Amino acid sequence: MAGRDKRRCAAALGCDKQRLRRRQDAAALLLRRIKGLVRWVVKEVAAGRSPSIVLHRYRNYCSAADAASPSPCACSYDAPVGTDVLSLLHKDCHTSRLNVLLRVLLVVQQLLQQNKHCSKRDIYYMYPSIFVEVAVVDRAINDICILFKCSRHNLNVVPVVKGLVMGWIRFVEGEKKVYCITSVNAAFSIPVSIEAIKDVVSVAHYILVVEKETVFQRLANDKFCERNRCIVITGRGYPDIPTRRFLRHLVEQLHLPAYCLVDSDPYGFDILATYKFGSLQLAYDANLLRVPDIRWLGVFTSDFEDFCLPDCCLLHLSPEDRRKAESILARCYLHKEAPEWRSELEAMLQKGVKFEIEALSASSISFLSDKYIPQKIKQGRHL
Amino acid sequence: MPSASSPHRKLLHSLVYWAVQRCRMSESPCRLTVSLKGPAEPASPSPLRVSVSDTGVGSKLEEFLELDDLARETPVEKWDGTLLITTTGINDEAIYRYRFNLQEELSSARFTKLATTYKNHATFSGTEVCLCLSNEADADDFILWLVGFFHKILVLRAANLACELFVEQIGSAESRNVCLPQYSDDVHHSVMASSSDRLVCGLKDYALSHGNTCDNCDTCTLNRDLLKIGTGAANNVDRRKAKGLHVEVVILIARTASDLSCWTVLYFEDFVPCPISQSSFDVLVSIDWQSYGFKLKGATAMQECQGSQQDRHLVRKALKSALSHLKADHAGDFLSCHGQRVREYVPDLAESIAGLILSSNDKEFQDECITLLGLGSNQDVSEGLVQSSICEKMVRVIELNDTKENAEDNAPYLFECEKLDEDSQLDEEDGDEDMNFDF
Repeated sequence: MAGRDKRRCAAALGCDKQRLRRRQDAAALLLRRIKGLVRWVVKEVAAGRSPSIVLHRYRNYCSAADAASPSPCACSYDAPVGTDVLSLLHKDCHTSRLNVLLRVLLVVQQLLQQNKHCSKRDIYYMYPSIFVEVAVVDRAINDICILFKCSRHNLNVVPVVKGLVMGWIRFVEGEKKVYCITSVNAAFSIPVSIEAIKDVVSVAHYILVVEKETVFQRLANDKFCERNRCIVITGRGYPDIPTRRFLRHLVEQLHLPAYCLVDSDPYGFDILATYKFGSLQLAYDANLLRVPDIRWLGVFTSDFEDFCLPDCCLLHLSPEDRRKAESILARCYLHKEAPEWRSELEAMLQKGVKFEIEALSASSISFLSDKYIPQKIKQGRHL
Repeated sequence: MPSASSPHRKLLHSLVYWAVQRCRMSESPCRLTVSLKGPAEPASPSPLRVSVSDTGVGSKLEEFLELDDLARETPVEKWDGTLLITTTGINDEAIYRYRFNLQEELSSARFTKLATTYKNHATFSGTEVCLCLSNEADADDFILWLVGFFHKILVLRAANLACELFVEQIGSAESRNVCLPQYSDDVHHSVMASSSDRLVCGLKDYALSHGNTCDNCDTCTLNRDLLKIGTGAANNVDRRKAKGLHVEVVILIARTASDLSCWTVLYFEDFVPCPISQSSFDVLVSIDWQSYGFKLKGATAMQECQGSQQDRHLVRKALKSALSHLKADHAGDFLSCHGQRVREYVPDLAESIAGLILSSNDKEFQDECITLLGLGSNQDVSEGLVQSSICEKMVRVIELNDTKENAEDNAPYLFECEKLDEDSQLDEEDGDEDMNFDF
């Protein structure tokens, strides 16, 4: 017994070492690339030429699709759709972008050399007069990722996590044991970085992603996980990178189906689409962040009648909702990859109504966890 | 304010114009003298006596008939239409005198030949036109205009032409005299110097003598060396046109104490100051000033001359060539608005690059970059030095490429990560291409 423990311990240690080495190698490669860029910039400037940097432009979707005739477009998860040239000679907005890029790179180089981490907000406060706003730093981080073909976490720039998890799962995050399984109805923070996760063990049958924290708390309160072998995750609105990476990691590691429950309105749909297709802002990394097989559990416009919900919960789509829905309908990925989702959104727009997940609790407070979710999953009523 | 096209001005402009043309035709050194005598008191009944004389070729008198229209539209009380003309050609044996009365309806009475004086084999040529103009309340303005007009003629420094202006105002109390002889400055403007070189010289004097009468330019620079000059010229090469056209443009920039800068355009045709033609004015307004670091806030033509059939293309070409010349000689001062905006980023860019070099823990890389910058790897190089070296080089790149054409030429050198990987893979033992992704 002791021998087996020892072997397991040794294997874990070996695994940790390997993980560390890989991280160090990746940091060294990135540092080499940064130096390569700087050397090249210096060479160009010394030769009396402008340093001109090619940045690929990525797009995971476009709005060119027409309902009647979905035209083929160049959108792709892997290939760029165009390029921007950052230099001293062309558009001055591109010079400004180059300026911010190099300044953020200066911070990244220091982080990688010292093996430290910081948030984009930390970076912003180092040079607020150059960056003007956090969004500018955000864009520069994207530019660096595109330039060096890496992901954000490679740069040691860490996000602030807002996602929550509960249910039949346990894992180790760095030195910390996250044993959700011992208290399945309690909410745990989603780990900042999946690189720190190991020893994932789960006995769940599926993963349920809910749009809102209120719904997550409703399920916790109803002891949903106690009665259903599942893992529940919420990104609290539009999901951040750690939530998306964590979900993707679980789906890949545990081979579990994932269902998503969002409000029946255009914003709920957009959140759902972010899980499945990724966001435009992080299009260059969408293929590593998205969960292509996620199923849409609800709530559908048709659920309102199917589950005899009271009329008072039904709201009319505002002009802004309509505009949002119409712009989503035009996205090419719905035509290409999820025509049933598109039809459902079209139905919402045609009926001109919306309602929230909480409407399901109107008649009975626990209707969502007692009836709606188990029934839908059991009957396979999802898209 | 008197009308810019008052009959007095039109008349003097024409008389001087022809005198200048006669001088140019003679192709030998000539003198142009304008003299004006009048009472000092405004609205005095005594008239202004004007004489325009030149030593150019003799007059054939035809040009004066062109004043018919002007005489007809001018009230008799302003000018009675009389011109006394004395002229002789180089080969003439006599000096001829004529009286023209352009207000006269009867053609037989319009032209009178007066007494002839024989030259006694003397060889000279020249013309003098005398006339009397009414002394009106705005006589002072007219005199000011005439002085300004002469100043402008002097700007051209026309070859073989010496100009003089005498104004004498005689009054009971005091007399005022203006004497404006040809400048004799320190700069050689020999007959051999090109017309644009002479124009540059004249324009400098004009600027230094506060000749730029624009309200904002009250403090013209007094240092000749601080004036910035750009010259350009364009020729009409179309041989089908009988009359070739040659356009020369000189731009002179004088730094003023205030930032409010103002341009005055002096426009000449056939070596005489003229109101700018509409087509040339349009060219001025439509030039892409921003490419040369200027902002056109507005433009007003004081007078518009419709008659001129200028070749827009030539004016544009000459103007652009002058602007390019100005920019080439003073790269930093005439950076395009785009270049100026980009230049503002240079200190920050240089700080980032210097920081990336000096904060690197790779000494070899640091030395390499410092050597590339030409700072020498052995000496102890400060961050400030690296920064200023990068700054300087970047500013030069911006200045040298501050035209659309240059910017496009510079495009082929691009940084792409693929190229970097090709280089870096050489010193990598194993290809770890995919490990920078998900790990």
